[in-house]
Amino acid sequence: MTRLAFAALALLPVLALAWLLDPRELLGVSVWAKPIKFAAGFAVYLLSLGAFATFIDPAWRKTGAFRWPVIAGSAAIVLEQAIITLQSARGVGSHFNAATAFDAALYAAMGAGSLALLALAPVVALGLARHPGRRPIDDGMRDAIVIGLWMTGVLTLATAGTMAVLGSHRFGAADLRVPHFLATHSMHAVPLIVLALSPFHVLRRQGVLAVAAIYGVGVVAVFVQALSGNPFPVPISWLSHG
Amino acid sequence: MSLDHLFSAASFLAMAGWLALLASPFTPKWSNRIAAWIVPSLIAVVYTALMLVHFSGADGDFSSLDGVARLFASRPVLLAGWLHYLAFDLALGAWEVRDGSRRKLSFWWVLPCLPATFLFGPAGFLMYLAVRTLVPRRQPAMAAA
Repeated sequence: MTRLAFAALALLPVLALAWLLDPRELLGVSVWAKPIKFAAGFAVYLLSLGAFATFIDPAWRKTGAFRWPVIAGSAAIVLEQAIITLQSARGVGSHFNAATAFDAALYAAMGAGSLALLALAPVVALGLARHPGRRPIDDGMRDAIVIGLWMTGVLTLATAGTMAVLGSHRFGAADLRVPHFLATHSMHAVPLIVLALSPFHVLRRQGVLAVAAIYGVGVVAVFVQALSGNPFPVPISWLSHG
Repeated sequence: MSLDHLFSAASFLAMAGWLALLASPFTPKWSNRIAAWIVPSLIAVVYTALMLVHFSGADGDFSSLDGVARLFASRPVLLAGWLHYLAFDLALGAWEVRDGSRRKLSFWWVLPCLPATFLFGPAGFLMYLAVRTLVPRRQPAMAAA
């Protein structure tokens, strides 16, 4: 997974140059904005999962129960990035694009792929929870990572699934990518908060659950606010566009 | 950044790569790193970006000579085609140097193949094939004529 992350990073100079050279725009931004965001995002996702996986028992990591989901999820990431990049090269949208049978088929493939790649989070969570390795880690930190990964899985499914059903990231004046972003980063936020608190108070499972609940409620609140059709109260211009 | 700027930058890089190959008897490892990997990769990044941006908008295809002519009517795609030559001719030249070294061919025999490969790619390749096949390996003692 870590090596695939480096491959995603290696794609960035090519995409950045394409962004510099291409005048074409979609929905008010360069056609290359999406491939760049997704390549960077996939790199972060894979690097995180790879780092978390080092705390899983290496013997269990060699079993099919781990390897098959990782292979499927990794292949799905390659497919997603390829489709998003191809559609941008063609100057058309990738998500929600059903303009032609070809576009619709690609979008359907993306849907299937997104489930496979999202499944990587709970798989790593299960590995961490049930098959811990010998690399030292605080119980509280491990719980934070496990819970964060599960939250990423569930909340991303909810936010992304809603966008898929609506056929757009827009809902009225709201941009559903904001709660989606917060949802996907649960796997980072919960461990980071627990880590930041650790010089003052080392949290155990109950404390971690409390942190996770607060973050989760926050994500749901932002999601509900977006579903009211109103824009996110804080201006984040690079996330939402006119 | 205009197409002409990119053309100049790529020409400069390719030239640097070929010069590195000329130095290969003295610095074989670095000459190979530069000519086989670094310069071709840099040119390849520019090529890929150009094709991602311009290929779908270009008329033409690879199925006939007329199709190719239409492709190259697009100036960015033409630049990409030229970068393709620059990158691959250089990578091929680096291979010729490595292969000659592995076969213990005197560098004097490989040397003329390099400008031939630089200017007329496949012709230089044929020249190197001939050299590789016909020139005897360096013998430690005098060989029979």
